[in-house]
Amino acid sequence: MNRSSRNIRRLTLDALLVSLALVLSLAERWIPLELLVPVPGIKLGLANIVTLFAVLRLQGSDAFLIVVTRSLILGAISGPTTLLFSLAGGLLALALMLLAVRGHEKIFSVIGISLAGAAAHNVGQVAVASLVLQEPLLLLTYLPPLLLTGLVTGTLTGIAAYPVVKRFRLPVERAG
Amino acid sequence: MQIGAITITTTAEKPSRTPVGRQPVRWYQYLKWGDWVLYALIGLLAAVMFALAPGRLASPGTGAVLERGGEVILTLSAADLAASGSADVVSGAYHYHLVYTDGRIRFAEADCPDKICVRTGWISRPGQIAACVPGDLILKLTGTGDPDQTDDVDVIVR
Repeated sequence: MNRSSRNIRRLTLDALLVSLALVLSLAERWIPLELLVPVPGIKLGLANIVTLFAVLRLQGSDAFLIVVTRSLILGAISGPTTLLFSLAGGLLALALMLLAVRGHEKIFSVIGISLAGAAAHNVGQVAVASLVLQEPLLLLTYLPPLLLTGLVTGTLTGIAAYPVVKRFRLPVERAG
Repeated sequence: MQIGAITITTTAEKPSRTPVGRQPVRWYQYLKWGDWVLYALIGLLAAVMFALAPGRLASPGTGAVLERGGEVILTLSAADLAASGSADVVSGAYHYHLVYTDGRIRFAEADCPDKICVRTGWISRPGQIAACVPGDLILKLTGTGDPDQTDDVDVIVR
């Protein structure tokens, strides 16, 4: 496979994953999870499945592009607050997942990488909120319940991502 | 047919394709040691933050302030909170309806996008807060229950 066709393959795959992440982000808004678990700001984090896949099966730059593009488009749909939250949570989660993926198979399973992403996502979002409102107490108030529910949602998205990651050993060379 | 750990094979049923002696793999069997460490660390972090969070002590002298962009736009005394009432606030493009009764207060309704403020629910103890990022609002409870909160009382006077 020559260089240009490999690039087209990569572009197509990344674009596909961005749209998948967007659909998941929008679809999870229709799940009234906060009615079942009354934690302010709780989310399933379904788009985390896409980031997990990208981190485990593609290159770091692909994962970065997917997260940033998804945040930009979500921001265009839902406004600047969403953009800020999505970028902060998404990028911090990506950074920790890229760290954790180095220990994949040896130290962490897919679920562990998902847990790291979920926790980092929550920390990033609440940190941005407390920066915007200049109130550090927001961290202590809003973060603990989100971290605890993140253990459950992170496990669930990790389990959901596992078969995808396991079965799709794409012909996209990590080293390429 | 398999129910839990018990396998019931009826004569009509074909034998299971799972080789004899192979147990079904449960999700937690995939976990590595680092995963367990993460569960423990994140849980511990949450517990420590929860323990440090203000609002553990009830106090009879609890009042409330609503801040917008760091400026107090609404002050309610302990007597106000003890009585029942409500307040309507407009911040930017968003409208908020606050309700207070029996010494507690909450964002009852809001038309902001994510409604984190409304989902925060009732707050009643000094140091507790409810926030809305899109509307740049923080609802804080002030009072004598926690000595660290005396700074906030100065803000009301100003």
